[in-house]
Amino acid sequence: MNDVVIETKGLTKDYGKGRGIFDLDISVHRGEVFGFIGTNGSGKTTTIRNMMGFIRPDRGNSVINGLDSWTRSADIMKNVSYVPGEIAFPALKTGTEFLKSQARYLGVTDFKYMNHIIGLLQLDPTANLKRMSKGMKQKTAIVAALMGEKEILVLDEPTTGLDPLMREAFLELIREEKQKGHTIFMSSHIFEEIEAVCDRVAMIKNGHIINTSSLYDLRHPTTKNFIIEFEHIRQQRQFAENASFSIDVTKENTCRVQCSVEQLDDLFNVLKNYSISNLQEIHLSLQQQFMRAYKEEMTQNGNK
Amino acid sequence: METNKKTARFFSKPLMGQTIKANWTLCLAILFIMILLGNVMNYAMSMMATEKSDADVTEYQESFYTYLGALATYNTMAQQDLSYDDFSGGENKEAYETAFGMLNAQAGMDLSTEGFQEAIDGLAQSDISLNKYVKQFEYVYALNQSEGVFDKEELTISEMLTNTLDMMGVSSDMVEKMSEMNPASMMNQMYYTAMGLLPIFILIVILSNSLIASQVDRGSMAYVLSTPTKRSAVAITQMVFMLIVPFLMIAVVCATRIGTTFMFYDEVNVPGILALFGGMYILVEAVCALCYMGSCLFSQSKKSMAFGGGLAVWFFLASMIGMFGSENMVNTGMGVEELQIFNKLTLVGLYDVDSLATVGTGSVDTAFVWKLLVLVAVAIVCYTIGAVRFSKKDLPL
Repeated sequence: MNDVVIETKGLTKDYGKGRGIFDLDISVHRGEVFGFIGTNGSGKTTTIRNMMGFIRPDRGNSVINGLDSWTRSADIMKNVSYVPGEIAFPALKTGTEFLKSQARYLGVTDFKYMNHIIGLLQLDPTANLKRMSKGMKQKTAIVAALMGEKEILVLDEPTTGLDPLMREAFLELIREEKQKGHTIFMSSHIFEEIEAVCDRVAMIKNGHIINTSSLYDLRHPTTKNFIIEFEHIRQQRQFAENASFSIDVTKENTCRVQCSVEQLDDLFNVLKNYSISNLQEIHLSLQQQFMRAYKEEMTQNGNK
Repeated sequence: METNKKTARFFSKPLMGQTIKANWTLCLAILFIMILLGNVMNYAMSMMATEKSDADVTEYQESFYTYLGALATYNTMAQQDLSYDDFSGGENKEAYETAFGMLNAQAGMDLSTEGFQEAIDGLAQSDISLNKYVKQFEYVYALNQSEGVFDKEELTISEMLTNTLDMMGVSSDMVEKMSEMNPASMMNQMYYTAMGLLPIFILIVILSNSLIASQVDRGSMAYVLSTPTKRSAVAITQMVFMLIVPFLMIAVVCATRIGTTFMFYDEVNVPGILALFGGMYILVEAVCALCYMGSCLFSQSKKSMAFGGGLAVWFFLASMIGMFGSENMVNTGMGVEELQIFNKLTLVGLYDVDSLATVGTGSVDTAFVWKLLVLVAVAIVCYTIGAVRFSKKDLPL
């Protein structure tokens, strides 16, 4: 089988007035956790609806496991689990009833894995479906989707409403799935969780992909940035004059150092001779990267 | 674990289970109302039928009046005080026998106490009390052979009555027609084309909306469609539900109605009742199909509700108004024939209660056949359009 499991080519769905998605090209490889990030209304959900075959693209297509999303949607669903962005359950009484009915749809007869997820998320499925809080509903939806143990997971903002502890548990679940070699496509607007589990990230803005980057680069940068604060201005000057690193003097007794990973050893050797009051690594987060890409896009658009 | 579940293409059992679970209470409640309505109506109709007996009493009335006339003559002649009340008291038989004997001898009549008694018994079959007849006789007797002061024509009771009614602004024609009207047919019309339909119309409007449009609007359909279930399977499963539920409900109501009819009446036209309820099922399915189509066409619950509910309410109202144009209503003076046009503006108008009621009787009027065929065609077309559209449209899930 092909290495690419989810692929969109020139996917376009125009809702008019600049809303919709335009010429989206995404490819997700087997076993990959793919993050899909963007502001509200940027087209994340529309993309996912196209992938699931709920809406028909105006142009282009979306293919999962070699099957066209629109025409073969029911066959695709044999291998795909989906957590919708908007949680609305069928008119059933309790969570248990809902999960059982969902198991019948999926043909699940072995509830071991389902119970494992329920335990992990600390969900009480016996509660009344309509009275559930947002977080409870979200957990129930996650359990309903994941119990099929499908190869591909498509999650539309799966962590909304979850408290930080549960979010951590959920991310643990995603890591488990990844361990099994399952492919995961998740959208979110929360950078931390994408950063925590994803291998690659696509950023979407106003229906266009503005950046696709590998988080490996982000986690293992080739250059590192430090802010070093010296006890005396004198020392700072001395350091700035002698060092072989690229240095920006920021404040009186601090400076910003950029060095490659290989130079790290040298840097610390040099620093041994100085008395330092503070050392801080500047971590380039996904959020910063996103903001940068976002702003770049804005200025480009502004110049047009 | 590899799920070896097959793709559901035409029917989804879990979905059917879910639909039943979500809707059975509502269906039961409506069924209860329908049973209550149908059978109370049936009871009321049976009461009406016994109250108004069709026995022909004109002959007895004539002979009763003859006797009363004879008694009156005898009273003036013989200075006696004989009367019907006295006779029915039964203590003075001899006096009557003498009276009748004397009259027979004088006028060559054939009067007897037995004959009088027979006339009384015969007249008692009608539901008008004998005192009324006696009273009417008093008027007839008092007016006997009087003539108008101006036109010198004979004055009669009925003429006086017609005149009085005309003065009151009530058409005497109408009064005559009123006595000819068929209350059973009117009640039938009222039950089958209006009251009996209302509960099930409400049910199908709610059901059709909740089976498709509401689930799409709320987004809960996503849980069905993200499993190996084709959209066609969803459409067909819900369609099957909408075909079966009204059938079961109408079948139950029909069964109880046949049952109570056996209790209230001596004779039961079972094929006729079956035909009426069968026609009702076809009508309900046609409306059902329209609502289902609306539910499939619109992704917003409120739009589908407005479409289905609006149509159902219109059909119901139009058939109510149309009923005031029916022959029975016009005869009672409560209707105007021009309102008949409303029967052509509603699907309910294609449900011909009067001709369906003839099934099982000697003279079957087959006018209902083509009307029901039109309804079947409407149902098939709407169900098909709905299912096809649902399989091809964009769903906001």
